[in-house]
Amino acid sequence: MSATSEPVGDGQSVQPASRLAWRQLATLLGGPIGCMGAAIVLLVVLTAVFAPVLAPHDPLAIRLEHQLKAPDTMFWFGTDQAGRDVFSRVLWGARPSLQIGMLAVVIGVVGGVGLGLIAGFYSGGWLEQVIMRMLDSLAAIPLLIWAIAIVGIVGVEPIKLGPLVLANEVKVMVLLGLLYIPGLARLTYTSALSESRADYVAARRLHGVPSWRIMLSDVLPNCLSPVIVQATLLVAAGIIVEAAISFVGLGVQPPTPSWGSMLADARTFLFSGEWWLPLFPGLAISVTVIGYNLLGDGLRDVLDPRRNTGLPNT
Amino acid sequence: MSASPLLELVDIRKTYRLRAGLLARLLGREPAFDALGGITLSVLPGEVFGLVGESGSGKSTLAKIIARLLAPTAGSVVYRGEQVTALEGRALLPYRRRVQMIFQDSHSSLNPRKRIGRILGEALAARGVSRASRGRETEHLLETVGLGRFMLGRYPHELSGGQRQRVSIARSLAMEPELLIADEPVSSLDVSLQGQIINLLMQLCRNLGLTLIFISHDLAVVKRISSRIMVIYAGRIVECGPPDTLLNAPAHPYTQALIDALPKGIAGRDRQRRGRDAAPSATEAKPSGCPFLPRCARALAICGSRFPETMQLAENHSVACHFAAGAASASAKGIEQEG
Amino acid sequence: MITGPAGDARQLPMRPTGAMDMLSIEGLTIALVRRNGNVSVLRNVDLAIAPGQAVGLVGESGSGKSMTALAVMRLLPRGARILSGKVLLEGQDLVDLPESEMSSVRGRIVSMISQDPLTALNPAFTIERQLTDALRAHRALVRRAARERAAELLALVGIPSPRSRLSAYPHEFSGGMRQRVAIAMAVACEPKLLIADEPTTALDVTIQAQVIALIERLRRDMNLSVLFISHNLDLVAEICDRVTVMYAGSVVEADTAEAIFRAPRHPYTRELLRCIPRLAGDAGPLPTIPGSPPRFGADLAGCPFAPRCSLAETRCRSEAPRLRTENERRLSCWVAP
Repeated sequence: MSATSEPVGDGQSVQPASRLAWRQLATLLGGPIGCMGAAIVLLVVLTAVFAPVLAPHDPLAIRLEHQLKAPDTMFWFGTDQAGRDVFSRVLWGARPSLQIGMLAVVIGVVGGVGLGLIAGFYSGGWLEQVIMRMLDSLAAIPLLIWAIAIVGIVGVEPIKLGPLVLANEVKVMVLLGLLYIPGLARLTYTSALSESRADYVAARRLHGVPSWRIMLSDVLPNCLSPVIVQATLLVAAGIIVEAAISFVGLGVQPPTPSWGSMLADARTFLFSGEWWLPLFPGLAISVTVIGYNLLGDGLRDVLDPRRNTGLPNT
Repeated sequence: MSASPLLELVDIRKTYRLRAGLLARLLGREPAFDALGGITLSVLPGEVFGLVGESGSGKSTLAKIIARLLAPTAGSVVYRGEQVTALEGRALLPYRRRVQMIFQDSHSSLNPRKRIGRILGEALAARGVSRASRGRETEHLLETVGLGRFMLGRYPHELSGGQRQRVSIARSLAMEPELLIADEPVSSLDVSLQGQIINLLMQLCRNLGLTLIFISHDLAVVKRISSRIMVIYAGRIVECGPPDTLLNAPAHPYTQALIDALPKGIAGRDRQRRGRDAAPSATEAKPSGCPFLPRCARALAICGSRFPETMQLAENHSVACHFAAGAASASAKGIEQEG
Repeated sequence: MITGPAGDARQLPMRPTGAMDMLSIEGLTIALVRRNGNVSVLRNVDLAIAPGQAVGLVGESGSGKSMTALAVMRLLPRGARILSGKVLLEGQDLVDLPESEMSSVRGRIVSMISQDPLTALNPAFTIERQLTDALRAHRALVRRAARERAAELLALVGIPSPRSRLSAYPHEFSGGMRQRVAIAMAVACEPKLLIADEPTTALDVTIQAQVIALIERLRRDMNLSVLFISHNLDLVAEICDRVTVMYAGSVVEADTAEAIFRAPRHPYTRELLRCIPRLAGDAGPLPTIPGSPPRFGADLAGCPFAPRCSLAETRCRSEAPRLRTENERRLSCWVAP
């Protein structure tokens, strides 16, 4: 019986290796859109990480002699009412935004994917019902209002957990994360439900592999695509929530710079001509959110019609 | 044939309970769907056992029950004389080594996120093959099914349907089974390629001494390779016998209908199609009666109320049909009278 | 014979000599336009269907048979473009027809049913709604008249108690019944050409026979031309007058059904016929064609079947064979007599 002799060469023209690598990366990120998004996200992340190095001035240094200066060669983005350099504060402001945005998503993903996976894999039993009802209740709570209410009640002081002192942002992070859980869980649940019925899962059972192993090693990787896309979009949402919460004074506490609190401070200066005060933090928020959204869109194109090579049925 | 059977199914039943409203549940009137209604069969070692049925016949449910992916509602599964119906978890592992299954190719028989090498490696690991020998054994498996080493790094979607089926076969062989269940293994492949996979299966069964249960809706293929064929309809076995007998002298009207319905090519052009375009009859059988009643040209009064018992027509040939039973005893009486 | 809305009986027309073909595809070449080069899907495909004739189009995966059907309906997938050739429906070339005119052709002159009736029928609407939609679009019938016609159509395709079934939803029907409803929808406006793309592949073999008989009956009664697409040569030979065999996007052989079945010329056709499992066949290994069809979009020099052909010569591998026409037969092969 002859072995199937498939012609191995796939007929692609030979290109220099470096160009091929870039091309593959570009396709991986979902084309030009995804690449643009990825570039912006990378820029913002690097800014946050290297803020101490990149900032020309100390963001907390109050120098009233430089108060409310328009952008010039020394202060690229101008100064605020306390004489602090807006540019440096914008750079440093990336930190809390990203921290809250990304860590909230981590909480959401871990909780949501975990619950959704279990509910979908063990579908048909009481576990599924319990989890789904729990998620329904969680999802019924309006996000921003709940965050404001909790922080309003608990207060904005840092939490002391033994040796750890957690800043106010942590409360926001955790709340946000919890509220992301139902959406991500439902997303995972839908995939887990259909993937668990797939023949390859049955094949693993035939190998005698215990259920929990199959769930983690076989079903989970096939549920992650929509989750990854959603996660990038949720980071963007988290940044806006951070800005909103800080805007109302319940988020990042002064004097720590954050885009939201900078906008809050700029409120009084909206119509008095100091345009640079609301503009730059606002731009920072917009650009970051756009970046994450573009990345999410790009990834969606790559991950969702997954291995679809676009070849029709003939 | 005095060989003791490898696998025995005794009165296997499978009922699915459908979701119903609270009131219905309280009144005890939950709708249920009987997927299998009392299947009894035995498979001898080394044989190719063909199971023919159309969609909804319950053949896939039966396959899953044999493979212990599903538990039957009633009845028992006996392997080499030992009860395996109630086994679970660790106790089921030895049975898992012995019985493996190949599924109908779709994009879901191989994990789309794993490379072929990993899929096979995991199967070997499940058997207990050490990490060191896994590589070598994976390549050996690929060779057995006629695939080259370059397959190892590929993903399932990069393979053709035929290649995916070969990998599926290799995966099931990794466990070194004794009994292989093939559930519609070639139905999604081109006709010109089906032969490749089927011939491979037959060759492997011969070389490795495997017993094969071949499930399909394609009577012609099943006839060609099976030593015995069982016809299943609406969850019940209607006829069982050697291929030639079944095809030349079928006893059950459904078997006859299957044969008649096959397109005959040019030869079929001028044939009168008996009742082909007839709308199905409105009479439904009671649950206790024969499910084929609405479509049966030979229905008798008793068919509506009582499912016929299995009758042995010849040493290897059995049928469950009132009409066939009547015809058989009539001819027996005829012979008696003549003789 | 069926009666139109005005009550006049339709007679089967006599076919005059030299009559125009209902459908005539000439030199159709379609490719998927990609950034890194075109992927050829159909190469120089010729096909002709006379009025009232049933023509079978046979091929396996990658043969391009479904693409041909979609080309006639001008429902090609995104990215597929007709590079050259003509699709003449009653003499009118459909290739460059503006979409607005094309939508009045679909359903009215040419209609299609496909493999999965689940996707042809919208699960959210009743059967009545779906049938009357087509009727009212093309025939401008008022609601009551459309409803009557819909009931007539259901009876025509053999659905029992048609009037009560009008208010049912697709999921309430079995697979075979759904296909009948899909056929009813397709013939609602009395088209002249019906394209049936693998209409019975998803159905059980016993139901398959019924649906085929239905199509055959409609063909006779309505003088319908049928383009029957299938991978099942046996099935096609039963009901088609002519058969065209395709492989990897090209036509390899076309002839009357008798000739194709009893005396196939092209090596692929012969091998394909040999592979069909027969009840009357002997035991032993099943015949098969070694190798597999060329990968989609692979560059083919020479005959696409050459790598798998036992009769292939050097010429076959380097030069694509030209289509020869002899009487009723068309053959594309260097080696076959």
